[in-house]
Amino acid sequence: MSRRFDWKILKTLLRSAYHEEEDIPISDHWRQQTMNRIRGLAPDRVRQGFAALFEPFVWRLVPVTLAMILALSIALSNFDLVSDSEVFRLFSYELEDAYAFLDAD
Amino acid sequence: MPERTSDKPSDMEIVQRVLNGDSEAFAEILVRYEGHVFTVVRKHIPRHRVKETAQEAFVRAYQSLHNFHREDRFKQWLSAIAVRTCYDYWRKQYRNKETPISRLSEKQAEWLNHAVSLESASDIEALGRRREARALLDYALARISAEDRMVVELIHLEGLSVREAADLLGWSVAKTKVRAFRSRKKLQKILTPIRRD
Repeated sequence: MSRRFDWKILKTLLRSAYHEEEDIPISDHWRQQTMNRIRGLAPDRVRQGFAALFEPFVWRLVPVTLAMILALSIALSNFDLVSDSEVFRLFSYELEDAYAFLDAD
Repeated sequence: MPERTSDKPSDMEIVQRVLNGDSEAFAEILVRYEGHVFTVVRKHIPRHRVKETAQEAFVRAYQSLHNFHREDRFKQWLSAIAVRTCYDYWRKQYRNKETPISRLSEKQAEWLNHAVSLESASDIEALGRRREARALLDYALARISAEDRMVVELIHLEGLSVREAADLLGWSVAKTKVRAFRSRKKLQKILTPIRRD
């Protein structure tokens, strides 16, 4: 069959079928059931959990945290990161050399 | 629709009461918007599952009330929740392969052949057999994905704009546009072989 496929016509037909729906009565029983489910749920703010209680404080602490990070960064950049054992080893080599020099004399 | 009518509390006031722990105040929202939610849901869901899905939409709305902002319009916000609940229903159905893949009867195939041969809109009125059209629609929608189904229903059947559909589904406009184009092609492909029978 070589008919022209007319999408517009078909769409109009499908649209009218789609919109032709019978009303569904909403009963008191359905309302009661829905409200029972709602009552069974914990209030949303409580459901967010224990951590949510501290949320307002977290934002207040942000400037303090940033200041601490900055101070620690400056302090770390000023510290010498060579460990004590490294320093001791360096001195011990120098002492050994000095003793070796004295022994040679 | 304005949120406040005469001396009735506004939607925002009710939402605030619920958020402050008065869950009974939600009953006012239920009564105010049950008709609207049923209208949205029954367009997308089989008749026997409409009540259950509408209830699920209200429960989700209750659970998401803290996301509702003053500047939003409550009805639109609730519509988006209802549409996404329908979308989740279909995703679950497709995942569990619970969607019945119906077959078109000879009578329905014959109807389709006749329908596509119509010349004008007035002929469509004369056709008058909507039951076959609905069966054909169910047949085609059962063969596309949940995403495509929602896009076909919202854009091609309800006549919403791409932006409106995107807002309801929570997708980007670009994604919705691409989906709309592809889903229409899929639908045409599904319906074309039947027509040629």
